[in-house]
Amino acid sequence: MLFNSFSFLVFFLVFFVLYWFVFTKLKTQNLLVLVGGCIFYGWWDWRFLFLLAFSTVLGYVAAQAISTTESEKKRKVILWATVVINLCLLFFFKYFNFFIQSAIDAFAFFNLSSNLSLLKIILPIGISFYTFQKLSYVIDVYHRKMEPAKRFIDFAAYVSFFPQLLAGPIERANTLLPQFYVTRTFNKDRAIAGLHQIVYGLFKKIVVADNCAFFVNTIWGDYNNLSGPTLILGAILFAFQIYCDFSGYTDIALGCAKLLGLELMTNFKFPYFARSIGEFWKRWHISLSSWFRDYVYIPLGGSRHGKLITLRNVGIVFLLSGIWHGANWTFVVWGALHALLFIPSIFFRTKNVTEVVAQHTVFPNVKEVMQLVVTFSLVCVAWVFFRSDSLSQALEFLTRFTIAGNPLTFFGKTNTSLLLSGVVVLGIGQLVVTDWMNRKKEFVTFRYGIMMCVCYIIEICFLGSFKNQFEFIYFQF
Amino acid sequence: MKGFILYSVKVIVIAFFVMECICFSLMYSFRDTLFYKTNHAHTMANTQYGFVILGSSRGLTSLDTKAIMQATGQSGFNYSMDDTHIGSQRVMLNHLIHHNIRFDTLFLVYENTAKHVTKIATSDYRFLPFSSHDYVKQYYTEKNAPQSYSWMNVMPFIPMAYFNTELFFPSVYTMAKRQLRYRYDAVGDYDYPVSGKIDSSLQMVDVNLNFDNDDLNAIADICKVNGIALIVLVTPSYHTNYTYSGNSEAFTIIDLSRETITDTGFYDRIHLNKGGKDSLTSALLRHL
Repeated sequence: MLFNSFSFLVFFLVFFVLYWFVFTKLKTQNLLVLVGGCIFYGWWDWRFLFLLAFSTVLGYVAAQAISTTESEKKRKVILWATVVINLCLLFFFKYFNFFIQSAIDAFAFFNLSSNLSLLKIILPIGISFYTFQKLSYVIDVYHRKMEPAKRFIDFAAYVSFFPQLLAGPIERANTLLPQFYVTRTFNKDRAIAGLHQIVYGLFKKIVVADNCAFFVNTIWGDYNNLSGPTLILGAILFAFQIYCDFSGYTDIALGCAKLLGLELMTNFKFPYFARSIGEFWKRWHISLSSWFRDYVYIPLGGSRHGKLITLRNVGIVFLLSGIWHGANWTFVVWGALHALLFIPSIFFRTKNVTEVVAQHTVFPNVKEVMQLVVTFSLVCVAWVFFRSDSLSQALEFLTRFTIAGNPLTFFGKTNTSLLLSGVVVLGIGQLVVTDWMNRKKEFVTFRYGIMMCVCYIIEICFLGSFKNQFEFIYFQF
Repeated sequence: MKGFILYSVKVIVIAFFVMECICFSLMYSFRDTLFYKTNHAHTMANTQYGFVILGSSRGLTSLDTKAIMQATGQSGFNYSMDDTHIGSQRVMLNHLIHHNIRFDTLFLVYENTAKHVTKIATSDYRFLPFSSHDYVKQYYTEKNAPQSYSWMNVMPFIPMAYFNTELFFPSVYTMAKRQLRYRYDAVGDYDYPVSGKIDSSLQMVDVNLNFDNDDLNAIADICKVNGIALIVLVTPSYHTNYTYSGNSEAFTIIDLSRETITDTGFYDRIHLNKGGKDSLTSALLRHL
C-alpha cells in the first residue's frame, strides 16, 4: 500500500473516520492504531506480521524485565540479549546472503572451493527502521531515561504506527510513546498543516522523484553509451530523486500523523542547502544520524578523547550508516566516502557559522554559493556509489564523466523525453525555490493556504508521473 | 473538526472544479486540431477521398500515399497509426464513417495472427477525446480498457493525468499551434530513415495470418454496408514467410510479402524505410 496509491487514500479516509468519530477513547484508539498498522504492514505480505509481532513482544517484555530487575548485572544481560536477538534477526533477513556471497567470492578469488549456498530470504519491508526504533526504546529504559510502557497495546501502537512504520522517521520512544498515553485532541491548524505537508510530499514524490526516476533508470541502464555531461546530469537528477523520494515519504508520514493528532520528528531540513558535509548530516535523515550519534558515537566516546578517537568514531558511525542502508559494498563505500568528506569538519571547526545559509539575507553571498556548490557536488559523487549495483559500475560511471558529448542528444532524443525534461526542470526549480523560502523553518508551509494547496494538487495531477510509478527507494532498507 | 472538514471540502471542490474546467476546455480545443489522426478525422469531417489506408506502423511506413494518388488519379489519406492493432483499425473506420469521411477503397495493412484481440493497443488513448461516441465506448468496453478510460466523459482529469505526455501537454501546445501534426505529413505518411539497423543474421520465421478475426469481419461488414471496396494487404517483414488461414471471401487479398525488398529497404525487421516503401508502392500499383 503505497502512500501515493488509491488504496492508501481509501484506507486512510476510513481510518481517519473511525479514529476520530467511532473509537474516541484512548484504549480503543490505540487498539485501532495497532489494527491499522497490521493491515497496512500485512498488505505487503502477511507473513511479515509474525516478525513484527515477535519483535514487538520481545521489546515490550525486555523493557518490563529491565525496569523490574534490581540487579545491574541482570539488567545488562537482558539488554544485551535483546540487542543481540534484534540484530541477529536484522542480520539474517538483510545481510545473511550478502556475507555468504562475499565469502563465496573470496573463496573463488583464491581458487578455493566452498560448500556455501545462498538462502531464499524475503527482506521484510522496513525491518531496519522498526528494529532501530525498538532498540532505542529498550536502551533508553535500561539507561532509565524513560519508564517502560505500562500497557502492551500502547507500546504495540507505538511500534506499528503506520505512517512511520516502513521508512521512518526512526522515532525515539521518549517522544512518540508518551503521545500514546494521553487522549489525542483534534487541532484544526495542526490538521491543516498536516494536509499541506501531505500535498507537498506528494508533489515531491510524484512530480519530481518519479519523473527524475525515468531518466535516472535509463542513464544507469545505458551508462556505457552515454557522454560525461549526460552522466553528470544523471547523478544530479538522482540526488533530487532520492531527496524527493525519501523526504516526500517523510512529509506524507508527518502529515498523516498530524491529522491523527500526533507529532513525528523532523527528518529533513533542506539538506542541499548545507555548506559542508558536516552540516549536510545535520539536515539529511536526521532520525538515523541522531540515532547513531546517541547509541553508537557517544557511547564510543564521541569527541571527548582527542582527534584520533573522534576520527575512529566518525569512521565507525559512517560505515555502520552505510551498511544499514543495504547489503552491498556500494553502501559501505558510500558511508566511507562520507566519513572521509566529514573529516575536515572535525579538524577545522569554522566559527561564526550561521544556523542556515543566508540567514539574514535573501540570497547567499559568493562564499556561501561556493560552499553550497562544492558540498552538493561531493554529495552527488557519493550518490553514484549509492545508486550503482556494484563498485565496478560506480567507478566506471564516474570515470566516464570526462567523456565529451552533448546531453541534448539524450534528453531531446524523443518528444516524450524532451517534454519530461521540461517537467523535471520545472519541478526541481519549484522545489528549490519553495525549499529556499522555507529554509529557516522546520518544514514547508504554504503561504497562501488554500490556493497554494489547490495549485499543488493541480500540478500533481497534470505534471505527475502516474504511468511510471516507482516504489519509495527507502522501503528496501 | 468542522473547520478542517470544511477546509478540506473547499480544497477538493475548488481543485475538482478547476481541473474539470481545464480538461473540458483543453479537450474541446484539442479535438479540432490535426495533432493525432483521430483529431484529423474530426477536423476534416465531410471529406471525400478515393482511397484510405489503415494499419499500424507498418501501414504507415509501407505505402507511399502520394505515389498512389499520382498513379491512380484519386485523392487519398493514410489513417494508419503506430502502436495499434486490428481492433484500433476497426474503431478508426467507425470514426471515419461517423465523421462522414467518404472513400471508395480501403487498403488495410493486415498483420494479425489471432482470432480475438482482447486488449486495447498502446495508442488507443488517441480515441479518448472522442470517448463520448458509442463506437469508442463500446470498443473500450470490449477490449477491457483500464478503468481510467471510462472516466473521460465525467472526470477527464483522471485519464489526462495518466496520459499527461500524450494528451495534456499536446492539448496545451496545440492551443498555439493548431496545424501541428504528430509524426505524419499532409497525406498521413511517415517515413523511417534510410539508415536502417537490420540485422542480416536474423533467422527465417513462419507467421500464419488469421483472416478469421472478429475485428476484421466487423471491418468487412462496415465496408459492405457503406459500399467500400476492402483490399487487405500483406506487407513484407524481414526474413519472414507468411501463410494464411481463415475465411477471406469478403475481401480481396494482395500479398506483397513476397515482393523483393533488398536489405537496405528495411528499417528494422517489420518496418520499411523510404527506399523499401517506394519499391513496395510500385509493386502494389502493378497489382491494381
